[in-house]
Amino acid sequence: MSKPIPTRPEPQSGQKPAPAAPAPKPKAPRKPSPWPWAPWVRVLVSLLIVFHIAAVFSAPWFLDLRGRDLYALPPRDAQGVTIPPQLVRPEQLEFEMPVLADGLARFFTHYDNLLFLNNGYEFFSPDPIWSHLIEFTVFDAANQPIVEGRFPDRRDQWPRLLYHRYMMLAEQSGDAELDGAPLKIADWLLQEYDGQRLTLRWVRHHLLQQQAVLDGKSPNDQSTYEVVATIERRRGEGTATVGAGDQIVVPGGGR
Amino acid sequence: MRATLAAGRDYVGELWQAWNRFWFAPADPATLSLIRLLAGGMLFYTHLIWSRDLAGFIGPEGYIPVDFLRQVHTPPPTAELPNPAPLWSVWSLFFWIKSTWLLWTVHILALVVFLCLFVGLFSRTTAVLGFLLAVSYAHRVTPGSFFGLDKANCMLALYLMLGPCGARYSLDRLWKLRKGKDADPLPSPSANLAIRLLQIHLCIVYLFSGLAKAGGASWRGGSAVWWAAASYEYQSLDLTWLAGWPMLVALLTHVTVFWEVFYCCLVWNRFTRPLVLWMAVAIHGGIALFLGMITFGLAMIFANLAFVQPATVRAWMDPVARRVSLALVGRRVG
Repeated sequence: MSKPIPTRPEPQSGQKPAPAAPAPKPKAPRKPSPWPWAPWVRVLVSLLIVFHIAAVFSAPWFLDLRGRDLYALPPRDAQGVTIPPQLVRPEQLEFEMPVLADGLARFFTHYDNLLFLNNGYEFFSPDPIWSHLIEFTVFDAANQPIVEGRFPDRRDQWPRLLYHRYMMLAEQSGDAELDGAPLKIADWLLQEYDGQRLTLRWVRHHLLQQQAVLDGKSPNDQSTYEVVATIERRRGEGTATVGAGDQIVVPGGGR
Repeated sequence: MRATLAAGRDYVGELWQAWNRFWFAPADPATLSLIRLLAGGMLFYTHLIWSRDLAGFIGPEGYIPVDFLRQVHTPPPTAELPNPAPLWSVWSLFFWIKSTWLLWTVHILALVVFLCLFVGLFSRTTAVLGFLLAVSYAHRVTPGSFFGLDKANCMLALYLMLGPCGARYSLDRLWKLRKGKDADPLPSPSANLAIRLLQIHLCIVYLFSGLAKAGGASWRGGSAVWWAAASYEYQSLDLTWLAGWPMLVALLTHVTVFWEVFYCCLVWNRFTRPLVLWMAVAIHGGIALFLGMITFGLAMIFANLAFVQPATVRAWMDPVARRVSLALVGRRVG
Protein backbone atom coordinates (compact mmCIF):
# COMPACT_ATOMS: atom_id res chain seq x y z
CA MET A 1 0.00 0.00 0.00
CA SER A 2 1.36 3.35 -1.00
CA LYS A 3 1.77 6.21 1.41
CA PRO A 4 -0.44 9.29 0.77
CA ILE A 5 1.63 12.16 -0.58
CA PRO A 6 1.38 15.16 1.75
CA THR A 7 0.12 18.24 -0.04
CA ARG A 8 1.09 21.81 0.72
CA PRO A 9 -1.92 23.77 2.23
CA GLU A 10 -3.41 26.30 -0.22
CA PRO A 11 -2.96 29.98 0.83
CA GLN A 12 -6.10 31.66 1.92
CA SER A 13 -7.46 34.29 -0.52
CA GLY A 14 -6.10 37.80 0.07
CA GLN A 15 -3.11 36.44 1.93
CA LYS A 16 0.36 36.64 0.53
CA PRO A 17 1.83 33.26 0.25
CA ALA A 18 4.49 32.73 2.85
CA PRO A 19 7.94 32.35 1.36
CA ALA A 20 8.79 28.69 1.09
CA ALA A 21 11.51 27.61 3.49
CA PRO A 22 14.60 26.57 1.59
CA ALA A 23 14.57 22.85 1.22
CA PRO A 24 17.54 21.25 2.94
CA LYS A 25 20.16 20.29 0.34
CA PRO A 26 20.23 16.54 0.08
CA LYS A 27 23.61 15.30 1.27
CA ALA A 28 25.44 13.36 -1.42
CA PRO A 29 26.07 9.87 -0.14
CA ARG A 30 29.71 9.57 0.88
CA LYS A 31 31.62 7.37 -1.53
CA PRO A 32 33.42 4.60 0.24
CA SER A 33 37.18 5.12 0.14
CA PRO A 34 38.92 2.75 -2.27
CA TRP A 35 41.88 2.66 0.12
CA PRO A 36 41.73 0.30 3.08
CA TRP A 37 43.98 2.52 5.19
CA ALA A 38 42.71 5.72 6.82
CA PRO A 39 44.03 9.01 5.40
CA TRP A 40 46.24 9.72 8.39
CA VAL A 41 47.81 6.25 8.07
CA ARG A 42 48.50 6.86 4.39
CA VAL A 43 50.05 10.26 5.13
CA LEU A 44 52.26 8.77 7.83
CA VAL A 45 53.32 5.84 5.66
CA SER A 46 53.96 8.24 2.78
CA LEU A 47 56.39 10.22 4.93
CA LEU A 48 58.16 6.99 5.90
CA ILE A 49 58.33 5.95 2.24
CA VAL A 50 59.95 9.25 1.24
CA PHE A 51 62.41 8.97 4.13
CA HIS A 52 63.31 5.39 3.23
CA ILE A 53 63.76 6.03 -0.49
CA ALA A 54 65.93 9.07 0.24
CA ALA A 55 68.08 6.86 2.48
CA VAL A 56 68.32 4.09 -0.13
CA PHE A 57 69.30 6.68 -2.75
CA SER A 58 71.76 8.69 -0.69
CA ALA A 59 74.19 5.86 0.14
CA PRO A 60 75.15 4.79 -3.40
CA TRP A 61 75.02 8.41 -4.57
CA PHE A 62 77.60 9.48 -2.03
CA LEU A 63 79.76 6.37 -2.51
CA ASP A 64 79.68 6.83 -6.27
CA LEU A 65 80.86 10.43 -5.98
CA ARG A 66 83.47 9.57 -3.35
CA GLY A 67 84.96 6.96 -5.65
CA ARG A 68 85.54 9.38 -8.47
CA ASP A 69 88.42 11.75 -9.08
CA LEU A 70 86.06 14.41 -10.36
CA TYR A 71 86.45 16.53 -7.29
CA ALA A 72 89.29 18.38 -8.94
CA LEU A 73 87.92 19.89 -12.11
CA PRO A 74 90.74 19.80 -14.68
CA PRO A 75 91.16 23.19 -16.31
CA ARG A 76 90.33 23.34 -20.00
CA ASP A 77 91.36 25.66 -22.80
CA ALA A 78 88.97 27.80 -24.85
CA GLN A 79 88.10 24.80 -27.05
CA GLY A 80 87.17 22.71 -24.04
CA VAL A 81 90.27 20.52 -24.34
CA THR A 82 91.76 19.40 -21.03
CA ILE A 83 95.10 21.08 -20.30
CA PRO A 84 97.80 18.41 -19.61
CA PRO A 85 98.39 18.02 -15.86
CA GLN A 86 102.10 18.94 -16.10
CA LEU A 87 101.08 22.38 -17.36
CA VAL A 88 98.69 23.00 -14.47
CA ARG A 89 99.75 24.48 -11.14
CA PRO A 90 97.99 22.89 -8.14
CA GLU A 91 96.41 26.21 -7.15
CA GLN A 92 94.68 26.29 -10.54
CA LEU A 93 92.72 23.12 -9.73
CA GLU A 94 89.22 23.70 -8.51
CA PHE A 95 87.88 21.27 -5.96
CA GLU A 96 84.26 20.26 -6.25
CA MET A 97 82.71 18.95 -3.06
CA PRO A 98 79.40 17.10 -3.36
CA VAL A 99 77.90 18.92 -0.40
CA LEU A 100 74.34 17.68 -0.85
CA ALA A 101 75.28 14.01 -1.34
CA ASP A 102 77.69 14.26 1.57
CA GLY A 103 75.10 15.89 3.81
CA LEU A 104 72.41 13.35 2.95
CA ALA A 105 74.79 10.43 3.46
CA ARG A 106 75.73 11.78 6.90
CA PHE A 107 72.09 12.33 7.80
CA PHE A 108 71.08 8.79 6.84
CA THR A 109 74.25 7.01 8.02
CA HIS A 110 72.74 5.24 11.01
CA TYR A 111 69.49 4.34 9.28
CA ASP A 112 71.43 2.96 6.31
CA ASN A 113 73.78 1.03 8.59
CA LEU A 114 70.97 -0.48 10.64
CA LEU A 115 69.29 -1.90 7.54
CA PHE A 116 72.51 -2.74 5.63
CA LEU A 117 71.70 -0.13 3.01
CA ASN A 118 75.02 1.69 3.25
CA ASN A 119 76.23 0.20 -0.01
CA GLY A 120 77.40 1.26 -3.40
CA TYR A 121 76.45 -0.98 -6.26
CA GLU A 122 79.72 -0.93 -8.20
CA PHE A 123 79.56 -4.36 -9.77
CA PHE A 124 82.68 -4.75 -11.97
CA SER A 125 83.23 -1.02 -11.91
CA PRO A 126 84.64 1.44 -12.52
CA ASP A 127 86.65 -1.15 -14.51
CA PRO A 128 87.16 -4.91 -14.20
CA ILE A 129 90.74 -5.33 -13.01
CA TRP A 130 93.25 -8.01 -12.01
CA SER A 131 92.51 -10.49 -9.23
CA HIS A 132 94.46 -11.27 -6.08
CA LEU A 133 95.27 -14.59 -4.52
CA ILE A 134 96.68 -15.54 -1.15
CA GLU A 135 99.12 -18.47 -1.12
CA PHE A 136 100.30 -19.79 2.19
CA THR A 137 102.49 -22.49 3.68
CA VAL A 138 102.26 -23.40 7.35
CA PHE A 139 105.31 -25.03 9.03
CA ASP A 140 105.54 -27.01 12.26
CA ALA A 141 108.16 -26.63 15.02
CA ALA A 142 110.60 -28.79 13.02
CA ASN A 143 110.20 -26.38 10.12
CA GLN A 144 108.40 -29.01 8.04
CA PRO A 145 105.47 -27.81 5.94
CA ILE A 146 102.14 -28.96 7.44
CA VAL A 147 99.83 -27.51 4.86
CA GLU A 148 99.95 -25.49 1.68
CA GLY A 149 96.91 -23.66 0.46
CA ARG A 150 95.54 -20.90 -1.68
CA PHE A 151 92.58 -18.52 -1.55
CA PRO A 152 90.68 -18.93 -3.81
CA ASP A 153 91.25 -22.44 -5.08
CA ARG A 154 88.54 -24.09 -7.12
CA ARG A 155 89.93 -27.59 -6.48
CA ASP A 156 89.42 -27.40 -2.71
CA GLN A 157 86.76 -24.76 -2.20
CA TRP A 158 83.40 -26.09 -3.21
CA PRO A 159 80.59 -25.23 -3.84
CA ARG A 160 81.15 -22.17 -5.93
CA LEU A 161 79.74 -19.77 -3.34
CA LEU A 162 82.37 -20.89 -0.83
CA TYR A 163 85.07 -20.39 -3.46
CA HIS A 164 83.68 -16.91 -4.07
CA ARG A 165 83.88 -16.05 -0.36
CA TYR A 166 87.60 -16.92 -0.34
CA MET A 167 88.04 -14.89 -3.51
CA MET A 168 86.46 -11.88 -1.83
CA LEU A 169 88.65 -12.44 1.24
CA ALA A 170 91.78 -12.30 -0.93
CA GLU A 171 90.50 -9.18 -2.70
CA GLN A 172 89.14 -7.23 0.25
CA SER A 173 92.00 -7.91 2.63
CA GLY A 174 94.05 -5.79 0.26
CA ASP A 175 91.72 -2.81 0.67
CA ALA A 176 93.16 0.25 2.36
CA GLU A 177 90.36 0.22 4.95
CA LEU A 178 91.44 -3.25 6.06
CA ASP A 179 95.04 -2.19 6.65
CA GLY A 180 96.69 -5.01 8.65
CA ALA A 181 94.23 -7.72 7.59
CA PRO A 182 96.95 -9.92 6.03
CA LEU A 183 98.58 -10.35 9.44
CA LYS A 184 95.24 -11.30 10.99
CA ILE A 185 94.71 -13.90 8.27
CA ALA A 186 98.21 -15.23 8.92
CA ASP A 187 97.49 -15.50 12.67
CA TRP A 188 94.26 -17.38 12.05
CA LEU A 189 95.92 -19.85 9.68
CA LEU A 190 98.69 -20.50 12.22
CA GLN A 191 96.07 -21.18 14.88
CA GLU A 192 93.84 -23.24 12.60
CA TYR A 193 96.63 -25.57 11.48
CA ASP A 194 98.54 -25.45 14.77
CA GLY A 195 101.67 -24.23 13.01
CA GLN A 196 104.75 -22.43 14.29
CA ARG A 197 105.66 -20.43 11.22
CA LEU A 198 103.82 -19.28 8.16
CA THR A 199 104.75 -17.84 4.81
CA LEU A 200 102.02 -15.92 3.09
CA ARG A 201 102.37 -14.64 -0.47
CA TRP A 202 100.20 -12.03 -2.04
CA VAL A 203 99.83 -12.76 -5.71
CA ARG A 204 98.38 -10.53 -8.36
CA HIS A 205 96.88 -12.25 -11.37
CA HIS A 206 97.05 -9.94 -14.37
CA LEU A 207 94.50 -9.99 -17.16
CA LEU A 208 95.48 -10.65 -20.73
CA GLN A 209 94.80 -8.37 -23.67
CA GLN A 210 92.63 -9.91 -26.39
CA GLN A 211 95.59 -10.04 -28.77
CA ALA A 212 97.66 -12.07 -26.29
CA VAL A 213 94.90 -14.68 -26.15
CA LEU A 214 94.63 -14.71 -29.94
CA ASP A 215 98.39 -15.32 -29.98
CA GLY A 216 97.80 -18.47 -27.94
CA LYS A 217 98.58 -17.36 -24.40
CA SER A 218 96.43 -18.84 -21.63
CA PRO A 219 94.82 -16.59 -18.98
CA ASN A 220 96.33 -19.03 -16.49
CA ASP A 221 99.85 -18.66 -17.91
CA GLN A 222 102.56 -18.53 -15.23
CA SER A 223 103.77 -15.16 -16.52
CA THR A 224 100.42 -13.59 -15.62
CA TYR A 225 101.06 -14.11 -11.88
CA GLU A 226 103.11 -11.61 -9.90
CA VAL A 227 104.04 -11.94 -6.22
CA VAL A 228 103.49 -8.45 -4.79
CA ALA A 229 104.23 -9.15 -1.12
CA THR A 230 105.47 -11.94 1.10
CA ILE A 231 104.79 -12.14 4.81
CA GLU A 232 106.68 -14.31 7.30
CA ARG A 233 104.87 -14.82 10.58
CA ARG A 234 105.89 -16.78 13.69
CA ARG A 235 103.34 -17.92 16.19
CA GLY A 236 103.11 -15.70 19.25
CA GLU A 237 105.84 -13.33 18.16
CA GLY A 238 103.50 -10.78 16.73
CA THR A 239 106.11 -9.54 14.28
CA ALA A 240 106.15 -9.71 10.55
CA THR A 241 108.81 -9.60 7.91
CA VAL A 242 107.53 -8.30 4.68
CA GLY A 243 109.30 -9.25 1.51
CA ALA A 244 108.27 -6.42 -0.75
CA GLY A 245 109.40 -3.45 1.31
CA ASP A 246 107.42 -2.67 4.42
CA GLN A 247 104.13 -2.17 2.64
CA ILE A 248 101.64 -4.88 3.54
CA VAL A 249 98.52 -3.35 2.10
CA VAL A 250 98.16 -4.52 -1.45
CA PRO A 251 97.09 -1.67 -3.66
CA GLY A 252 94.32 -2.21 -6.15
CA GLY A 253 92.35 -4.73 -4.11
CA GLY A 254 88.65 -4.30 -4.41
CA ARG A 255 85.39 -5.70 -5.57
CA MET B 1 44.31 33.92 -9.99
CA ARG B 2 41.37 31.85 -8.80
CA ALA B 3 41.67 29.62 -11.89
CA THR B 4 45.37 29.12 -11.23
CA LEU B 5 44.66 28.16 -7.63
CA ALA B 6 41.93 25.76 -8.72
CA ALA B 7 44.24 24.19 -11.30
CA GLY B 8 46.91 23.83 -8.62
CA ARG B 9 44.41 22.26 -6.23
CA ASP B 10 43.25 19.83 -8.94
CA TYR B 11 46.83 18.92 -9.72
CA VAL B 12 47.64 18.19 -6.08
CA GLY B 13 44.41 16.21 -5.70
CA GLU B 14 45.14 14.08 -8.75
CA LEU B 15 48.73 13.62 -7.65
CA TRP B 16 47.57 12.40 -4.23
CA GLN B 17 45.14 9.98 -5.90
CA ALA B 18 47.88 8.68 -8.18
CA TRP B 19 50.24 8.34 -5.20
CA ASN B 20 47.58 6.38 -3.35
CA ARG B 21 46.97 4.11 -6.33
CA PHE B 22 50.70 3.46 -6.67
CA TRP B 23 51.47 2.74 -3.03
CA PHE B 24 48.26 1.74 -1.27
CA ALA B 25 46.05 -0.07 -3.78
CA PRO B 26 45.46 -3.58 -2.43
CA ALA B 27 47.34 -6.20 -4.43
CA ASP B 28 47.18 -9.96 -4.61
CA PRO B 29 50.09 -11.25 -2.50
CA ALA B 30 51.07 -13.80 -5.18
CA THR B 31 54.17 -11.91 -6.36
CA LEU B 32 55.41 -11.27 -2.84
CA SER B 33 54.77 -14.90 -1.94
CA LEU B 34 56.75 -16.17 -4.92
CA ILE B 35 59.64 -13.86 -4.02
CA ARG B 36 59.50 -15.23 -0.45
CA LEU B 37 59.73 -18.77 -1.71
CA LEU B 38 62.74 -18.06 -3.92
CA ALA B 39 64.54 -15.55 -1.69
CA GLY B 40 63.94 -17.74 1.35
CA GLY B 41 65.60 -20.63 -0.48
CA MET B 42 68.50 -18.38 -1.44
CA LEU B 43 68.92 -17.11 2.12
CA PHE B 44 68.97 -20.68 3.41
CA TYR B 45 71.55 -21.80 0.87
CA THR B 46 73.75 -18.70 1.28
CA HIS B 47 73.98 -19.17 5.03
CA LEU B 48 74.27 -22.95 4.84
CA ILE B 49 77.52 -22.45 2.92
CA TRP B 50 79.04 -20.51 5.84
CA SER B 51 78.94 -23.84 7.72
CA ARG B 52 81.90 -25.02 5.65
CA ASP B 53 84.20 -22.52 7.40
CA LEU B 54 82.02 -20.91 10.06
CA ALA B 55 84.78 -20.19 12.58
CA GLY B 56 87.03 -18.73 9.88
CA PHE B 57 84.52 -16.29 8.41
CA ILE B 58 82.00 -15.64 11.20
CA GLY B 59 83.76 -16.66 14.42
CA PRO B 60 85.10 -14.12 16.92
CA GLU B 61 88.70 -14.69 15.80
CA GLY B 62 88.69 -15.93 12.23
CA TYR B 63 90.35 -14.41 9.19
CA ILE B 64 89.07 -10.94 10.07
CA PRO B 65 88.66 -10.94 13.88
CA VAL B 66 85.70 -9.09 15.35
CA ASP B 67 87.90 -6.71 17.38
CA PHE B 68 89.85 -5.80 14.26
CA LEU B 69 86.63 -5.34 12.26
CA ARG B 70 85.18 -3.05 14.92
CA GLN B 71 88.24 -0.81 14.55
CA VAL B 72 87.38 -0.54 10.86
CA HIS B 73 83.83 0.45 11.88
CA THR B 74 85.22 3.25 14.06
CA PRO B 75 85.21 6.77 12.63
CA PRO B 76 88.54 8.62 12.61
CA PRO B 77 89.31 10.68 15.74
CA THR B 78 88.56 14.38 15.71
CA ALA B 79 89.46 17.27 18.01
CA GLU B 80 86.03 17.00 19.69
CA LEU B 81 86.13 13.21 19.90
CA PRO B 82 89.72 11.98 20.23
CA ASN B 83 88.70 8.41 21.16
CA PRO B 84 85.65 7.54 19.07
CA ALA B 85 83.72 4.31 19.63
CA PRO B 86 82.74 1.93 16.80
CA LEU B 87 79.54 2.96 15.03
CA TRP B 88 76.63 1.62 17.08
CA SER B 89 74.48 1.30 13.99
CA VAL B 90 76.81 -1.25 12.38
CA TRP B 91 75.49 -4.17 14.38
CA SER B 92 75.67 -7.92 14.33
CA LEU B 93 74.77 -10.70 16.72
CA PHE B 94 78.19 -12.13 16.02
CA PHE B 95 79.97 -9.11 17.52
CA TRP B 96 78.88 -10.41 20.96
CA ILE B 97 79.42 -14.13 20.46
CA LYS B 98 82.70 -15.34 21.94
CA SER B 99 82.39 -19.12 22.15
CA THR B 100 82.30 -21.77 19.44
CA TRP B 101 79.30 -23.64 20.85
CA LEU B 102 77.22 -20.46 20.95
CA LEU B 103 78.33 -19.56 17.44
CA TRP B 104 77.13 -22.94 16.13
CA THR B 105 73.90 -22.78 18.14
CA VAL B 106 73.01 -19.39 16.69
CA HIS B 107 74.04 -20.55 13.22
CA ILE B 108 71.82 -23.64 13.36
CA LEU B 109 68.88 -21.59 14.68
CA ALA B 110 69.46 -19.11 11.86
CA LEU B 111 69.35 -21.92 9.32
CA VAL B 112 66.06 -23.11 10.83
CA VAL B 113 64.65 -19.59 10.49
CA PHE B 114 65.74 -19.35 6.84
CA LEU B 115 64.30 -22.80 6.14
CA CYS B 116 60.96 -21.78 7.72
CA LEU B 117 60.93 -18.63 5.60
CA PHE B 118 61.62 -20.72 2.50
CA VAL B 119 58.74 -23.13 3.09
CA GLY B 120 56.50 -20.39 4.48
CA LEU B 121 56.09 -21.55 8.05
CA PHE B 122 55.27 -18.71 10.50
CA SER B 123 56.14 -16.48 7.57
CA ARG B 124 55.53 -13.05 9.13
CA THR B 125 57.72 -13.88 12.12
CA THR B 126 60.46 -15.66 10.20
CA ALA B 127 60.58 -12.83 7.67
CA VAL B 128 61.50 -10.38 10.46
CA LEU B 129 63.96 -12.80 12.07
CA GLY B 130 65.38 -13.69 8.66
CA PHE B 131 66.11 -10.06 7.89
CA LEU B 132 67.78 -9.46 11.26
CA LEU B 133 69.91 -12.56 10.84
CA ALA B 134 70.84 -11.78 7.23
CA VAL B 135 72.05 -8.31 8.30
CA SER B 136 73.96 -9.88 11.21
CA TYR B 137 75.91 -12.14 8.86
CA ALA B 138 76.40 -9.39 6.29
CA HIS B 139 77.82 -6.91 8.81
CA ARG B 140 80.12 -9.60 10.23
CA VAL B 141 81.80 -10.06 6.83
CA THR B 142 81.74 -6.41 5.68
CA PRO B 143 84.43 -5.60 4.81
CA GLY B 144 86.17 -8.93 4.48
CA SER B 145 84.30 -11.32 2.25
CA PHE B 146 80.96 -9.76 1.35
CA PHE B 147 79.78 -9.16 -2.20
CA GLY B 148 76.68 -8.33 -4.20
CA LEU B 149 74.83 -11.42 -3.04
CA ASP B 150 74.70 -10.10 0.54
CA LYS B 151 73.29 -6.79 -0.67
CA ALA B 152 70.64 -8.57 -2.77
CA ASN B 153 69.72 -10.97 0.04
CA CYS B 154 69.30 -8.19 2.61
CA MET B 155 67.30 -6.10 0.16
CA LEU B 156 64.90 -8.99 -0.52
CA ALA B 157 64.59 -9.89 3.17
CA LEU B 158 63.91 -6.26 4.10
CA TYR B 159 60.79 -6.02 1.94
CA LEU B 160 59.51 -9.51 2.69
CA MET B 161 59.04 -8.28 6.27
CA LEU B 162 56.58 -5.62 5.20
CA GLY B 163 53.84 -7.70 3.58
CA PRO B 164 51.96 -10.99 3.83
CA CYS B 165 54.75 -12.98 2.20
CA GLY B 166 53.32 -16.32 3.33
CA ALA B 167 49.80 -15.74 2.03
CA ARG B 168 50.38 -18.12 -0.89
CA TYR B 169 52.75 -20.97 -1.76
CA SER B 170 53.47 -21.64 1.90
CA LEU B 171 52.90 -24.09 4.72
CA ASP B 172 51.00 -21.31 6.48
CA ARG B 173 48.44 -21.40 3.66
CA LEU B 174 48.21 -25.19 3.76
CA TRP B 175 47.77 -25.05 7.53
CA LYS B 176 44.83 -22.68 7.13
CA LEU B 177 43.30 -24.98 4.52
CA ARG B 178 43.65 -27.90 6.89
CA LYS B 179 41.73 -25.93 9.49
CA GLY B 180 38.96 -25.36 6.94
CA LYS B 181 39.79 -21.76 6.04
CA ASP B 182 39.40 -22.08 2.29
CA ALA B 183 39.01 -18.37 1.50
CA ASP B 184 41.42 -17.00 -1.07
CA PRO B 185 43.99 -14.56 0.41
CA LEU B 186 42.59 -11.05 0.21
CA PRO B 187 44.32 -8.36 -1.82
CA SER B 188 46.50 -6.45 0.59
CA PRO B 189 47.86 -2.88 0.58
CA SER B 190 50.96 -4.00 2.47
CA ALA B 191 51.72 -6.59 -0.25
CA ASN B 192 51.59 -3.75 -2.76
CA LEU B 193 53.73 -1.49 -0.57
CA ALA B 194 56.42 -4.16 -0.15
CA ILE B 195 56.56 -4.85 -3.88
CA ARG B 196 56.63 -1.14 -4.76
CA LEU B 197 59.52 -0.49 -2.38
CA LEU B 198 61.43 -3.42 -3.84
CA GLN B 199 60.81 -2.08 -7.35
CA ILE B 200 62.10 1.40 -6.46
CA HIS B 201 65.10 -0.05 -4.61
CA LEU B 202 65.97 -2.15 -7.63
CA CYS B 203 65.79 0.90 -9.89
CA ILE B 204 68.24 2.70 -7.59
CA VAL B 205 70.58 -0.31 -7.61
CA TYR B 206 70.71 -0.43 -11.39
CA LEU B 207 70.98 3.34 -11.78
CA PHE B 208 74.07 3.59 -9.60
CA SER B 209 75.55 0.40 -10.96
CA GLY B 210 75.21 1.89 -14.45
CA LEU B 211 76.57 5.29 -13.42
CA ALA B 212 79.58 3.65 -11.72
CA LYS B 213 80.29 1.72 -14.91
CA ALA B 214 79.90 4.86 -16.98
CA GLY B 215 82.80 6.29 -14.98
CA GLY B 216 85.16 3.52 -16.10
CA ALA B 217 87.30 3.79 -19.22
CA SER B 218 86.74 0.18 -20.28
CA TRP B 219 82.95 0.42 -19.93
CA ARG B 220 82.93 3.65 -21.92
CA GLY B 221 85.39 2.31 -24.48
CA GLY B 222 83.62 -1.02 -24.95
CA SER B 223 86.14 -3.60 -23.70
CA ALA B 224 84.90 -4.17 -20.12
CA VAL B 225 83.08 -7.42 -20.89
CA TRP B 226 86.36 -8.81 -22.21
CA TRP B 227 88.23 -7.88 -19.00
CA ALA B 228 85.51 -9.49 -16.89
CA ALA B 229 85.51 -12.61 -19.08
CA ALA B 230 89.33 -12.79 -19.09
CA SER B 231 89.50 -13.00 -15.30
CA TYR B 232 90.53 -16.58 -14.63
CA GLU B 233 89.31 -16.39 -11.03
CA TYR B 234 85.78 -15.46 -12.07
CA GLN B 235 85.54 -17.70 -15.13
CA SER B 236 83.30 -20.73 -14.77
CA LEU B 237 82.95 -21.36 -18.51
CA ASP B 238 85.68 -20.46 -20.96
CA LEU B 239 84.92 -17.15 -22.63
CA THR B 240 88.33 -16.48 -24.15
CA TRP B 241 86.83 -17.11 -27.60
CA LEU B 242 85.44 -13.59 -27.21
CA ALA B 243 88.97 -12.33 -27.97
CA GLY B 244 88.20 -12.88 -31.65
CA TRP B 245 84.91 -10.98 -31.49
CA PRO B 246 85.73 -7.39 -30.47
CA MET B 247 82.50 -5.99 -31.93
CA LEU B 248 80.43 -8.45 -29.93
CA VAL B 249 82.40 -7.54 -26.78
CA ALA B 250 81.77 -3.84 -27.42
CA LEU B 251 78.06 -4.45 -28.07
CA LEU B 252 77.63 -6.45 -24.85
CA THR B 253 79.55 -3.81 -22.88
CA HIS B 254 77.56 -0.85 -24.15
CA VAL B 255 74.21 -2.64 -23.91
CA THR B 256 74.95 -3.52 -20.28
CA VAL B 257 75.69 0.10 -19.34
CA PHE B 258 72.69 1.55 -21.18
CA TRP B 259 70.38 -1.13 -19.84
CA GLU B 260 71.45 -0.43 -16.25
CA VAL B 261 71.24 3.35 -16.52
CA PHE B 262 67.84 3.36 -18.24
CA TYR B 263 66.28 0.45 -16.34
CA CYS B 264 64.66 2.91 -13.90
CA CYS B 265 62.77 4.57 -16.77
CA LEU B 266 62.00 1.72 -19.15
CA VAL B 267 60.78 -0.83 -16.64
CA TRP B 268 57.63 1.19 -15.83
CA ASN B 269 56.29 1.23 -19.39
CA ARG B 270 54.23 -1.84 -20.20
CA PHE B 271 55.66 -2.09 -23.71
CA THR B 272 59.33 -1.86 -22.72
CA ARG B 273 58.99 -3.77 -19.43
CA PRO B 274 59.17 -7.30 -20.95
CA LEU B 275 62.26 -6.31 -22.91
CA VAL B 276 63.94 -4.84 -19.81
CA LEU B 277 63.09 -7.86 -17.67
CA TRP B 278 64.25 -10.40 -20.25
CA MET B 279 67.47 -8.39 -20.50
CA ALA B 280 67.81 -8.80 -16.73
CA VAL B 281 67.41 -12.55 -17.09
CA ALA B 282 69.99 -12.62 -19.90
CA ILE B 283 72.57 -10.44 -18.12
CA HIS B 284 72.23 -12.00 -14.66
CA GLY B 285 71.93 -15.45 -16.21
CA GLY B 286 75.15 -14.75 -18.12
CA ILE B 287 76.89 -13.66 -14.92
CA ALA B 288 75.63 -16.83 -13.22
CA LEU B 289 76.70 -19.15 -16.02
CA PHE B 290 79.95 -17.64 -17.22
CA LEU B 291 81.34 -15.72 -14.23
CA GLY B 292 80.46 -18.28 -11.59
CA MET B 293 78.20 -16.04 -9.52
CA ILE B 294 75.18 -18.30 -9.73
CA THR B 295 73.77 -17.21 -6.40
CA PHE B 296 74.13 -13.49 -7.07
CA GLY B 297 72.72 -13.82 -10.58
CA LEU B 298 69.70 -15.74 -9.31
CA ALA B 299 69.08 -13.36 -6.40
CA MET B 300 68.94 -10.42 -8.80
CA ILE B 301 66.55 -12.31 -11.10
CA PHE B 302 64.34 -13.02 -8.07
CA ALA B 303 64.32 -9.29 -7.26
CA ASN B 304 63.27 -8.52 -10.84
CA LEU B 305 60.18 -10.68 -10.33
CA ALA B 306 58.79 -7.71 -8.38
CA PHE B 307 57.78 -6.32 -11.76
CA VAL B 308 55.73 -9.40 -12.71
CA GLN B 309 51.98 -8.98 -12.23
CA PRO B 310 50.32 -11.19 -9.58
CA ALA B 311 47.99 -12.62 -12.26
CA THR B 312 51.00 -13.81 -14.26
CA VAL B 313 52.59 -15.29 -11.14
CA ARG B 314 49.38 -17.15 -10.39
CA ALA B 315 49.22 -18.48 -13.94
CA TRP B 316 52.73 -19.91 -13.43
CA MET B 317 52.48 -21.04 -9.85
CA ASP B 318 48.90 -22.02 -9.09
CA PRO B 319 48.91 -25.29 -11.07
CA VAL B 320 51.91 -26.43 -9.01
CA ALA B 321 50.41 -25.09 -5.78
CA ARG B 322 47.13 -26.95 -6.48
CA ARG B 323 48.96 -30.23 -6.89
CA VAL B 324 50.89 -29.67 -3.67
CA SER B 325 47.74 -28.77 -1.72
CA LEU B 326 45.91 -31.78 -3.17
CA ALA B 327 48.73 -34.05 -2.06
CA LEU B 328 49.08 -32.54 1.42
CA VAL B 329 45.58 -31.48 2.47
CA GLY B 330 43.37 -33.22 -0.07
CA ARG B 331 42.08 -30.08 -1.74
CA ARG B 332 43.12 -28.34 -4.95
CA VAL B 333 43.74 -24.72 -3.97
CA GLY B 334 46.13 -22.23 -5.54
